Amino acid sequence: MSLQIDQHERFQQREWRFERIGWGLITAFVLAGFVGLLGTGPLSWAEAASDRGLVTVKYQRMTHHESDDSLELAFPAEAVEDGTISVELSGSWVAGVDLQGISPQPSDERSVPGGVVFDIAVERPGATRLLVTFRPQEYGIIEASVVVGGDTTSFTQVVLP
Amino acid sequence: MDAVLRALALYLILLVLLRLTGKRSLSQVTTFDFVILLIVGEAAQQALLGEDFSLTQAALVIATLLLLDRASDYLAWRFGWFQRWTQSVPAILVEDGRPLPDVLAKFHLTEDDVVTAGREAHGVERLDQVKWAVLESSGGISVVPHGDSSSGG
Repeated sequence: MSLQIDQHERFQQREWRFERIGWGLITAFVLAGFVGLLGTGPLSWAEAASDRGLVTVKYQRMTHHESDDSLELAFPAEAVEDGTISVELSGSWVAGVDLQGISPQPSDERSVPGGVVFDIAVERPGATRLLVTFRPQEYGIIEASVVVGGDTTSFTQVVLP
Repeated sequence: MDAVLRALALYLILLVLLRLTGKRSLSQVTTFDFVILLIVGEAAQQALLGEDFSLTQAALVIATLLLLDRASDYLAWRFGWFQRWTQSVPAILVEDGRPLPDVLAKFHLTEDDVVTAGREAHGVERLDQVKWAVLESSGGISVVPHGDSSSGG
């Protein structure tokens, strides 16, 4: 009497083949995640500087929907005018993220068409930094341009689900 | 990157902790073991995802964990020493009808535990019906009763 079993050799061969391909795909996915193609990582870290160097933005190219992200704006001493730095942010980025905080806190916040202007009070002249924390609310590509003293730079983020 | 690193770190932490506590830890699925297991999962979840509840993050964490498990299985199959270190080895508790008290004591097991396992799997009534009992590397006790093989009991 033989074993009562639902064996299917051709299917088993095919399943092994698909499994091997699957392991390859999963390895590629994890490696992509590690290097920063799917979120934070070396390939995701980016920097954008304006022409005259009045503002430099450090940001992530790839970010996740509804997760904490931050970017850093750096200003040289020349960006300070009358004790304040005026930063204008505009583009789809402004509407596409939920701003969690800006540090140090702006002394003034004004609305302009398509964007927002932050005034940062500066105690002593010198190079300064601004940390912006936010949560992306929209999927896909969001773009921002940053203007300081008429000097413009821009950056693009990809928001993954 | 952080998803992959978090998953890798937690995998290693859990592997070390579970190997250090021994193969019997959490394997005797009593209600309490089960609850402890749930709490371990709950505690690990926070460390794995952080504040990021996006699909991409979850997919990366899951893929990394499954891949690590697959790789560990492969290495265990390929190298005997890797299997011994990550998955432990089986231990004989009853040798040809003779219980080994030293081994039982080392694992904090009693003859009762052996009879329980025999009852569950083979309807064994007394310890003298047990020919072989083995604490498997998975943490379960497997029992071969007398008279089950051609030699008879």
